[in-house]
Amino acid sequence: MSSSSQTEIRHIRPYVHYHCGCPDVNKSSVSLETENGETFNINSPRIQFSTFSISKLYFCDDCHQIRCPRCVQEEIVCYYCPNCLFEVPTASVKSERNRCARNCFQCPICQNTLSVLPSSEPQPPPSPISPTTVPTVSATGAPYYLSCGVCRWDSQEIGMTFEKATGLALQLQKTEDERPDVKEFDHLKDHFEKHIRLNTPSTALPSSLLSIPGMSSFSSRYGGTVANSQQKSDDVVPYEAVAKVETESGLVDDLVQLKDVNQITTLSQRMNQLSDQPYKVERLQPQRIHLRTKRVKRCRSCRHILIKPEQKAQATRFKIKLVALNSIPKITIASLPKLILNQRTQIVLKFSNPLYEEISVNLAIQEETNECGKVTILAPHFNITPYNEVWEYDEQDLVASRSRTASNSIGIYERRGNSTSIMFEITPLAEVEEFKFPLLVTYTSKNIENNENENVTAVEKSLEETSSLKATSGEPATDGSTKTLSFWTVIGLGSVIKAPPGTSGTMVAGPRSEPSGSSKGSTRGSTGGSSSVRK
Amino acid sequence: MEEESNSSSVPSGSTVDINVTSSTQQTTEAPRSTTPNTLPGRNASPSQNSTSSNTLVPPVTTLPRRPSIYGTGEDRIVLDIGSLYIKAGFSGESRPRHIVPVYAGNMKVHWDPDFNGSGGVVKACGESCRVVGEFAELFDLEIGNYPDGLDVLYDRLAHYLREIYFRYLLTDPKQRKVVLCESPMLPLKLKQLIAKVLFENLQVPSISFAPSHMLALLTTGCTTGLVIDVGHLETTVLPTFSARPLTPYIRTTPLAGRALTKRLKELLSTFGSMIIPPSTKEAPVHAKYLTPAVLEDIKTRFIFVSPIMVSAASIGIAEKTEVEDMENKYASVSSATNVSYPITISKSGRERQIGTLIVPGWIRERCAEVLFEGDEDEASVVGCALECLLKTPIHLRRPLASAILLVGGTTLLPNFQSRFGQELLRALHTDRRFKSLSGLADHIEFLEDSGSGKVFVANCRAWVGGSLIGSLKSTVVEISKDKYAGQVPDWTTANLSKSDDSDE
Repeated sequence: MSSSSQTEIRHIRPYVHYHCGCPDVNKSSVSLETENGETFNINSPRIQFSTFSISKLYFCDDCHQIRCPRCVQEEIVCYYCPNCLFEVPTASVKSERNRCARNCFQCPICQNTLSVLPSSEPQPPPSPISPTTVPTVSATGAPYYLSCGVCRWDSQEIGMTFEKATGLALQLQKTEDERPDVKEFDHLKDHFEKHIRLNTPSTALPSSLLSIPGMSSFSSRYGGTVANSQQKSDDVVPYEAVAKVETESGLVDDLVQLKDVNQITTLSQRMNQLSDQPYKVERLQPQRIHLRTKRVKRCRSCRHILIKPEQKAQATRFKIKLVALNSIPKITIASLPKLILNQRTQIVLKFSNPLYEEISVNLAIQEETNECGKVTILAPHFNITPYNEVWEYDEQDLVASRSRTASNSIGIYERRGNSTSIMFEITPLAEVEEFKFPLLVTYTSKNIENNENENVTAVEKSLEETSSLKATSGEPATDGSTKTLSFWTVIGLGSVIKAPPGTSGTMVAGPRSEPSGSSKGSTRGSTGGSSSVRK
Repeated sequence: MEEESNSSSVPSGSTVDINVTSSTQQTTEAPRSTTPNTLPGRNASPSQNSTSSNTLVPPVTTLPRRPSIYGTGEDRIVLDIGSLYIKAGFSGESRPRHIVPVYAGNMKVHWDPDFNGSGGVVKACGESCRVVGEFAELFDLEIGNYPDGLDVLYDRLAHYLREIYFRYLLTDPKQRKVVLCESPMLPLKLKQLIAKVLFENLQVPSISFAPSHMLALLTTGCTTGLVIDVGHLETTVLPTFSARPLTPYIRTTPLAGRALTKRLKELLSTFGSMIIPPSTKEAPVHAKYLTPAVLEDIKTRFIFVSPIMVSAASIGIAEKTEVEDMENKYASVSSATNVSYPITISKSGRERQIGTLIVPGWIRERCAEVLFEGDEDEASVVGCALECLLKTPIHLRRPLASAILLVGGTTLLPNFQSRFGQELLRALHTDRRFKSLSGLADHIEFLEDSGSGKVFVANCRAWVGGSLIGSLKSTVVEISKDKYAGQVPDWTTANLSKSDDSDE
């Protein structure tokens, strides 16, 4: 393995991402530069923000459209602490600074959750065998302290102990309120408020406080009537600070003699303590745990609810859950051999049908060859049998053999259950960090099963496909009982490597390593490069 | 000065309406105006004073804002969108709720729990949205530097701001007005873009733009001062007198955080060394290990500004040392220790290989020299400040020089301010260009020395000022969503656009 010589810091994993054009969002925001993608350009940097893995997508039944996190509207329904699962009433969320007001703290060093422990003085620490002794200890175990189970930090290091084991946040609240920046801020506010009050009639001040023309106020309009006869001073009354914070003492000396990297706080540690952002680790303090929210998500265009969680913090169920995973074919990379420069390689993509209806799928790519290499779809049209719960309980092989009888067509690797696996031929032509290609997926769900004229529909679809390529992807087309949806996907296959020196360039690489998905991989390895597999 | 006040006296019809309506609402709430807030410090406000002034003054703007228990509507969201960090929080609070670093990638693309093991900046927040990706600037001040157009920036900004609203601030953008701290040098296009994202994507009810230098100054309680903002992209010096930003006298220099990062990278790849585990020998540093996140981490943790000026730079402040010669010049006079910094070399799956980057002590001490050495094109930070003073009218120079305020993330480097003071004095004494200013040498004073010190951290000062403005019941002019038609107020052309409005 040449991984050590590669020494790449970032390893790009294979992925299948679905594109959401967000038609309703982008309609309103006319792009600043008129370059708008009629064609789907996977190398555009915008693609990062418009493609998602299927698990992040929703599906609006009413619009018959994929919806992504960008084209849903969110409404917060519940605030809760992720640690104690206590639901925080909306009224107190802001005053608690969006943090848990009970007993939940995060470690200032590693940001993991801290636990409250009694100090060991009155009794030896509870033996791990009988955890039931903990409550008895806590009766007398004051003072208590916070301890991090991950990095072993504990709050005694900074001299922070608690009288009671509950309501720690309340006990700390006092020091929080007396922080110099809080006091100073309020003082400043009073100072300027008084100033504005005193100076308003002369109209000089509001404009002078905010005298940038953009911020200038109505006062100038009234300024005409009240003559500037007395000409109040523009200058604010000299301000006396109520708090003073000095620089961290001896910081430069400490930095000069710095030995241990961990003596100095990292940026993320500082950003969890924005009141002073200290340099020295000793000055870090535990922070209350940030709250989380449960949110309702609505489709931006039809306002229908796509996601509605149970309101209770403890409940993990959803009242409404319209996720894409249950509505559009799921594509997984079933077999991915190493991509070697200039070698034809076959990969297998598995399409699963989540619907209770049979769907027919058409695949298309923009052009056979892009800058990465050549991509050929061996089976651009195929059907997927409907989803059926029974299959989940059936014996795997039985299902596979039954359905594989139908899979004689070229390029279909396997049919089993509600999924069909399709082969692609890939010939990388450039040594790129990431081989990726766009794939237009169009699927039609039909309520009436008509398996026999599969070929006919395939021809029809290939005609349609040329037109649908031009049309913006994702246009729903409903005719009668069938529903059609097409969307772009981006398939990323990881990096292309150079051919190892021993092998000849013309040989077609068999699927050497198959990470997951296909259980028949080992038996298939001998079939080599022929396109038809396992007759 | 005169044209400043003239320009502000141009009536603007649209904004007046907003103010009048909002203030009439406030008058209806008059009886409750003195309701004590949850914060105890508020009670100290002289209430008898306020009532007495009420009698004197038309009640249009005099009444304190009624503190809202439920926190809806009244408090504004204050945003300070920088090129590397977005500061966000609620008005009326003394510090931002969050400072969110900006990453190039979307979260999904390179999602990898180990990625930031090398000391990258991870902002962990309640929603476990560890943003992972390459640490990268959000925008550049030169519009020409956008090969992909502004669309990508729109996408990124929309993404971050949504994250900030829903995962960090946990609030609905539609319910709260926004105060935006804007740097005076922010290109109008970017400003429009920010407004567009906020109005169209997030549908905020209104935006008020506030000049960041003045906001920073307000946090000291003063309204006159020379505000020097050493940010990431550039250093901006803006004199402010009596709360009027004297924008014609603004001076900028690109020597700021980014230049510092660049210098750090040069120095480390030239003079640093690495130990890659199988071997124990020190090898030269390969540039690929010096990722932006690693550099930012080193910069914010181990770099400091040397208290000792090296004597060679006696002729003016325009003195530069080539990177190659720096070791000779600085290494012998530095007593700072070398630091062994762990760095991720490679990883496969869960296993990471950790190497060590050795940062020589003199680099830690002297890296920031880049900010103090300028040339004809790029004035040093000190030179920039003095050039600004040279431009200001003579009678303003002394009050400004004795009220210097350093803000911006780069000024957080330990010892920055005192070194800045030293350099300032030296330049005043030795540089011929600033001869006319030499009388100021005895009057140089920093606002942080005299007032409240470092109560507010310098990188948040503009935000805190925004929070202050947003919580004061002053007359912050806002653009409301209904009035928004793609245009934002712009100080460079404000008069023109205003007269256009009044014509209509």
